[in-house]
Amino acid sequence: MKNLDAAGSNSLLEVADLEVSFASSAGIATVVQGISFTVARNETVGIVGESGSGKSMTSLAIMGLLPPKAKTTGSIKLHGEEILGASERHMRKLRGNRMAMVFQDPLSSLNPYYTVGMQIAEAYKAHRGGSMRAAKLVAVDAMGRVGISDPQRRVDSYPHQFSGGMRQRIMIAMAMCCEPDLLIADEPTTALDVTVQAQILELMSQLQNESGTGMLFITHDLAVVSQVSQRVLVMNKGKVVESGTTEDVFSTPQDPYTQALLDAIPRIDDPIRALKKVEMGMVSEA
Amino acid sequence: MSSVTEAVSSQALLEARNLVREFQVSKGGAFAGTETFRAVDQVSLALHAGRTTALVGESGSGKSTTARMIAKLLDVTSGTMHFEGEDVTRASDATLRRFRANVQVVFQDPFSSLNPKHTVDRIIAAPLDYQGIRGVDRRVLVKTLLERVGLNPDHSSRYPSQFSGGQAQRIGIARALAVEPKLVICDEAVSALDVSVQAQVINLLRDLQQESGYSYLFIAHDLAVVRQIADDVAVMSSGKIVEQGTTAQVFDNPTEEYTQALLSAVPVINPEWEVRRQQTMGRIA
Repeated sequence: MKNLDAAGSNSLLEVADLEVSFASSAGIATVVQGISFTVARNETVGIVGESGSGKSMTSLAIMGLLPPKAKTTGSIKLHGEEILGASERHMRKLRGNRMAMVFQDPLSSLNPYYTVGMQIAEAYKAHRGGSMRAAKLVAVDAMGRVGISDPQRRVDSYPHQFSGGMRQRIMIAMAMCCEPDLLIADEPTTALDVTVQAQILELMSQLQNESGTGMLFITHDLAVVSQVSQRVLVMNKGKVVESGTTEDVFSTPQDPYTQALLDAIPRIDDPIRALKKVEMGMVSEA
Repeated sequence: MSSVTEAVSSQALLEARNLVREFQVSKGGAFAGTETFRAVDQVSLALHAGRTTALVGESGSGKSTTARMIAKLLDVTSGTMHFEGEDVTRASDATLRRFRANVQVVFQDPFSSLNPKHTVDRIIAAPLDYQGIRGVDRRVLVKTLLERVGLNPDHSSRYPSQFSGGQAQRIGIARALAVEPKLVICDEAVSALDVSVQAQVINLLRDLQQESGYSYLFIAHDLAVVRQIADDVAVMSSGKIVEQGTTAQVFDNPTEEYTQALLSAVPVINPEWEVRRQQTMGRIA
C-alpha cells in the first residue's frame, strides 16, 4: 500500500491535474476537473463513481481514446514519459503493448467476422511482429492462460460461439498477450452474472500476480472495488472527492458523498435497512 | 419449503401452477431444422397481497420468461394461472382486460418503455384508455400519481427525455399504478439505476406497498437488492425453481448447492470496515 501522493520512482502511471472538457453551443462542460493519482506496478487502484462522475472519461484520456473535440490539459505519465498530447502514431505503439484496456461489453469490442484467435493474434502481431503462425501460437497460449479449455480448437471459433464470460476472458487474453505494464479495466464485470464475475475477478488477480501489471479498475460497484483494489478514488461530478487505501475509504470515509454512497448500497449481509438518500444536491434527483 | 407455499395458497392473489414455456430454436445450421428448448420447466408460484416475492437467477435461468407469462405478455405452453381464484391461463377479452387492470409491469429501462414523443400526462393516463376506465378526472389523477412517486406535479407536460433515469423510472411506476393494480411486476426495475437513485426507488416501492398493499413480483439478478426488498424468494436455474422460501430462510440458510454458490459469489464489503464506519459516524457504540 503506497502513499497516494508519493509520485515515487516506482510509479507506473502518474496522472496530475487532468482536466477534460467539451465545448458545445451551451458552453464548456468540464467532465474531469483536475484529478491526480498514481498507479504502481503490481497494484490495483479503483476508481468508483456513479454515471456522469467522469470515471470513464479519465480512462479514455489515459488511453488517448477521447474524441478529437475533447480538450485535455494536465499531465499523464507512463514510466515517467509524458503521453498527454503524444502523436496518434506514438499512442498506437503504446496501446495494446505497454497499456491495454478491457471494456464492459466484450461482444461490441470483438469483430463478429473474425475468429477470436485471429483477433488475439493480430493484436500481438501489430506490436511484436513475426509471422501470423507464430502469433496464432501466442493466441492459443493466451487463451489457455485465461482458462479457456481446449484452446487449440477454440482459437478458430467466432465470438458468438462463446458465452459472455468466455468472451470477456478472450478480451482479457487479447489485452494481456503483449504483457502490458498497465491494464485499464472499465466495468469489466458489470455485464456478467455474479458467479461469472467472481471467476473473472479471480482470473484478473491471478494474472496480475504472475505479471506484475498495474491495474486501474473502474466501476460503479462499491463491493467489487472494495475487493479488488488496494487504493480507491471516489469520483463525483468530475472531481476526486476522496482517495486513500481501500480500508480507510470504506471504514472511515471523510467526504459526505462517500458516506452517502456507502449508506445507499443495498447489502446482502444486512437485511432490511432504510437505504439512505444521497443528499445535499449531489445527485440531481427529485 | 413447499409446505409453506401450500399453507397460504388458499388466499393467494395470483397462483401459478406448473408453468412451462417451450421455444423452437434453430439447431445452428441454416437447414438443420429446429429443436424444442424448455425455458421454463414446471414453475409454481403463489403471490400474495402486501408481499414482495423475488424471482432471482442468472441470465438464461428463465426468470424473465416466467415473469412475462405471469404478466400474460407471453402464452404458457402448459400449466395454469389463477388470479383471485379465477382461471386466467387462456383469458381473453373481458377477462384479460380485467386481469390487465389488476396486473401491471414496471420495466428495466424507463427510456425504452416510455414513449419519447408523449408527455408525462399522456403516458400516465394511457392505461386508463387501454382498460376502458372512464369517469376519472385525469388531471387530478396524474397530479396525485406524480406526487405519490415523488415527482413535481407541475412537470406533467414534459417529455421523458427531460427527466433523469431515476425520475423516468418514477414515471414508469406512476403509469403502472394508474389503474390501481393489485399486482405490480417489477422486471429488473432498479437494475439500470445508479446506487443512490436505486436506493430512493427501492424506498419508494416499499412506501407505496405499505400505503396500498400491492403485491410485487420482483425480478432481479442483484441479490443484495432482493435482500432489501423481498419477503419471499424463489431461486431459478435452468428453467426450474431450485429453492424457495422466505428471504431470511433462503439467504441465511440456503439448502441447495446452487443457491449457496450463487450467494457466496456476491461481492461484499468487509463487514469489519462497515462496523468501524458506523462507529466513526457515531451510529453505534
